Amino acid sequence: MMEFLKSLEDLRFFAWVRESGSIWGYPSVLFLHTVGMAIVAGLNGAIDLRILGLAPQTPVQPLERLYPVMWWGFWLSALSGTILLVADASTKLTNPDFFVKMALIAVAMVIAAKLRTGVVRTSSGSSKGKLLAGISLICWVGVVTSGRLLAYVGPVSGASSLRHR
Amino acid sequence: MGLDHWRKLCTWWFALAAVVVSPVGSALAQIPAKPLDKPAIEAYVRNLYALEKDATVQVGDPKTSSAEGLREVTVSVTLGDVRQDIPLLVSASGRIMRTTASPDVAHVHLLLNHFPTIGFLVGLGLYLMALATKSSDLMRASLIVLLGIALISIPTYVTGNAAQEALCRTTPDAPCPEPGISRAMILAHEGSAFGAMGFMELTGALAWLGLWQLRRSTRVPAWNRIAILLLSAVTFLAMARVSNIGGQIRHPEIQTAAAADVGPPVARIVGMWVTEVSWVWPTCETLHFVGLSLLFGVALVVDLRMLGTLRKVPFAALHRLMPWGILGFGLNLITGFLFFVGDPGQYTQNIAFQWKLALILLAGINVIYFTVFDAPWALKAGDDAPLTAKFAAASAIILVVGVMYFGRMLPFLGNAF
Repeated sequence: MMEFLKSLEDLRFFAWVRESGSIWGYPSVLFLHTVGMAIVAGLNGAIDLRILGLAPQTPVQPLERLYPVMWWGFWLSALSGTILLVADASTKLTNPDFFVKMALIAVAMVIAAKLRTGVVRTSSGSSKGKLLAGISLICWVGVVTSGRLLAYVGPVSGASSLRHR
Repeated sequence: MGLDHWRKLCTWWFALAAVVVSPVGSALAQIPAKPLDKPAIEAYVRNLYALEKDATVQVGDPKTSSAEGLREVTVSVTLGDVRQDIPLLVSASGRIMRTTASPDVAHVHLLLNHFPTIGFLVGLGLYLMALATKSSDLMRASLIVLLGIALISIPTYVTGNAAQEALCRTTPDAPCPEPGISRAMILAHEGSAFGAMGFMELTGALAWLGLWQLRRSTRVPAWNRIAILLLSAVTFLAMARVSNIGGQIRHPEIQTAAAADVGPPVARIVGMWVTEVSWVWPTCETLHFVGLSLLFGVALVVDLRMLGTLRKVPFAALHRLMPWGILGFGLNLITGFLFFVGDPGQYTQNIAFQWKLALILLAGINVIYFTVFDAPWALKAGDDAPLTAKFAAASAIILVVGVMYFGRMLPFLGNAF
């Protein structure tokens, strides 16, 4: 298994991303991942806060138009995240923190879909909707935290000589 | 001859006199250059680079440099086989100033430090007048001034550390190279500034909140008016103390006996806590990302409304979301400050950090626009936003993405970590 993962890391493109030192490599992929994160976590967070009762004069139904933007952010993070993953396959896929992050993303995105159809589209003010929104907020904070901690916990790739990452 | 004629005559006479006198005057004001004090320059270089005793130092003859008023002196340092030529700049009065003629970062700090002191006093004065006259226009103006000063205080603090590094480049345990600069005073100044910044930024936050509240009703609520009054008084006193200590860095002749006991270097202590306690830095980073997501999420909702995506939402409703965006920014300001005091050197010389700060300050203008101005506030459900609002929204997105870019690039474009 490890040999397979390492052979993935050694593929030309991913090795270039990881080792070239070019600003168009790892730094740029990481930057795109940050922007995608800000969009998907930020917009979901804003919608969750509205469902929980913040800014109550904001009509809920028009917020549905934010979901396409949010999906752009999601795919940006997913694509850049995949590049980051394959470039460090042997360390990430053996890191339990990474799987925690993936699980939290899955839960958060399922909740986002449910909230879109059940709460935003119908402007329903149900308490179940509020519960889901609260769980979604916690999930996204968990995603950001577990993502950040990938640089600190579990097997950490190459740049472990850096004190702060 | 009429009064008007005399007035014109006098104006022309004085204008002519000014034109003639200024170049003559400035020529006369040239300080005659003292002969080069080579032993002093050698002692300076030996101290600056902590040279070993058997290093030989040869001070060259002065040449005219491209920098006006400064002479270039090349000092050759030889240790064993290795020789290095160090260019120095020496002023007409014999003062050894710097090794490059690039903008003196200490001077930038001395320029900016007028804002959190005198600028803040102006804001406070305006605020007191606003309270006394109950004028909402004066209130709005004074709160914008206080908010603006709180934002400008950020690069003021940062350039302070840059000035510290420029003046006292040697190891923390050695005295500063130039005689007359007190390292103890610098550390005390930094520590007092760190505490004063806490009050300053809190004042700025409440000033923003006041502007937000003023948009939604005719007066700032009493609790906030009192809070801003008390906090600005404390901020002013704290900043006065900071500048008092700062003045004594280079002027021991004004040092009072009480100042000899300057207290612990607060900023350094907090800095050590940030870098040495293992969980602090990763926790701050995580909070920094949460803050930026909150900030970007709210900013995106407001900006997309202006750009047409959420046209069915009246802006007044989204205005209520803004405090949460500012909360995200506040979280990032606090964690950012902790990063900075933890390791100032990796930020002050970092081009990515300088750009990041510049873009944050520019984005402050967008925030004030959306908080205070009539054009966005008047937008009802279904209205198309005016062009200025669309420009403000588009530029806000570009600025926030730019801040994220330079933040992410701190270790790659700059020298962080």
